[in-house]
Amino acid sequence: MVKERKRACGRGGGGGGVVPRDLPHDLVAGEVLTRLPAKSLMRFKCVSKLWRSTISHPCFCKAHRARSRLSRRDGCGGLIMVFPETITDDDDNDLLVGVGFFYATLPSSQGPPVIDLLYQFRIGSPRTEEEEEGVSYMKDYQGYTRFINGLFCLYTADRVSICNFSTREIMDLPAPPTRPFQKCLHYLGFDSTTNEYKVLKVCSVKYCKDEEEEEGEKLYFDSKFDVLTLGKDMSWRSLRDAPAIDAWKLSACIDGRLYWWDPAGRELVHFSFNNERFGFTSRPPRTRRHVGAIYQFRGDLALLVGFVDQALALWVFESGLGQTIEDHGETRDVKAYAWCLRHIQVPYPIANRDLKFLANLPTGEVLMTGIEEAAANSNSNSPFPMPIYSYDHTSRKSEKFITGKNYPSSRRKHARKLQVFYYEEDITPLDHLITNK
Amino acid sequence: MASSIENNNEKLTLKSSDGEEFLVEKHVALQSTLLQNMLDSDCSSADVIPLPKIDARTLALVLGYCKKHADASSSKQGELNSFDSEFLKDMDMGALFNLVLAANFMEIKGLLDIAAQKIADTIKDKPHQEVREIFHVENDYTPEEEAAVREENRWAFEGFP
Repeated sequence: MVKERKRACGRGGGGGGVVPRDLPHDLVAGEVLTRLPAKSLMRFKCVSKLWRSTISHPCFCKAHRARSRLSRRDGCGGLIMVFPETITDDDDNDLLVGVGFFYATLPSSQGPPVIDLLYQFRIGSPRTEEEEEGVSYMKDYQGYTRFINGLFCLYTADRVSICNFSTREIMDLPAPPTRPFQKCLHYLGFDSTTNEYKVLKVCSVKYCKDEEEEEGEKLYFDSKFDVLTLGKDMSWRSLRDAPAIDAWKLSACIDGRLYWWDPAGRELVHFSFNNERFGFTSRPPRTRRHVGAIYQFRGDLALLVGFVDQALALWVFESGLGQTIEDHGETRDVKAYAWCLRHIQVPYPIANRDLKFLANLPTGEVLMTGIEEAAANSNSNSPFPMPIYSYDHTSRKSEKFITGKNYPSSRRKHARKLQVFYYEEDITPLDHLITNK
Repeated sequence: MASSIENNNEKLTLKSSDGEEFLVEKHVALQSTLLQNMLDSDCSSADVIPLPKIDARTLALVLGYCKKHADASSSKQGELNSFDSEFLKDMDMGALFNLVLAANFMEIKGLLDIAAQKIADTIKDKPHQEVREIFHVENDYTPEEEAAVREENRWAFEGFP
């Protein structure tokens, strides 16, 4: 026995006349509140004025973020799954009518992932009764960007708002230039060297010179790029000498660079959020044009070719020797990367059925989804419309991550638009985030 | 840190705010960064170290925690985790507050973490009015101001009074 009491003392439940003391506010803030999920904190702003100003203070928000990273506690880090609700109009165009946000905890010692339908944005005319039911109407929004640190943008052709998912705060950004182009996409980027968020607007047009021709060489593409640095630019800056990109195919952001196919499918075009320059990467040697869809695979640029010989074929741009990167006249300290063809065993139920990569987990697994055969999961009570599998590249094993319910085949087209983002809470108020404090 | 102390029988005496003295083995005391710093500097272990902010009941709990963590080898993390949750299991808010204060004062990071986390877990799903009472915070909002703050964060109040 180590502790030897020289006198008896009233240990135990009796209290022994000890008056419990209150915690000073700095201990409450620094030790207790930093451990709470964002939802509790937003509610506790109502406790007092001091609590409110503490919870909104950038220093507190930073401490909260640091602690949630450290402990990865439940409710503070997980997956946001964004599932668009679309309808098809008379001209067979998909119209976005709403966005469902699902949240999944990561699987832990305490059990498998838990999914919740968190929130729904409805796009279109607001109707008050339904707003009461937890559905917010975002009038006129046409699209949304990917998530970075819980932030994402909602946009129309002439309006962009930034939303902090952790706090549900939403704020309009300066109006972007409107351009009479067919397709306007916005991308949210983060420059880790300056800790600045940037929004890129890409307006693209494609047209046939000769009306008789359909796809192929007779198709002409043009793109205009505008960029806004949050907290710095009062208005959008137009980027000159931008190359044409194919905005109709998938793009991916890898290490602060956005990648697209060039219109002819010969090479990949990228835009760097750091120096705002464009660059080019040759496609894998001896491959056909548009060899695969652009994805991020375990932090590397990848082209998903498809299902070949019982496995998923994937070109991965890995660090190694060989390929050189042209970076528009700029000499950069770039590691030597080369294209490597990888084959991945994917779970049978989703193999070759619109398989796509979704996100990377901090533990290294890659999440993927596909249309599952109806028979495989017809009894599922999952709130989630799609199955998700995780793939561990080290052990080369796949596992079912989330069970999806049976998704009607008529809506498979929409199912392809599922996006998954790894997410950690950041409760910093938007005006601090975008004024770069 | 505990495992690196070999066969050290040195003891020191700690004195609580209500005058009770506790004889503690040195390697147990070293769980506290405060005591470690005192021992590293000029304080002699023969002296009685007064802890004027910590009552005997809390100090006994703190030292129980320190002993368990000093004696357990690092390989027994699972055992320590179950000790930690058992240790805090039926503790009321007042006792937890005292533990946080003591762990903060004595700089025992592990104890501070688990006690503060326990408080956070307890209040996480409570309405803000109840949280106000737990922390004895005076409501300095007018009803209109409070309603406005609530409206700004309406989504967080789903299912709350």
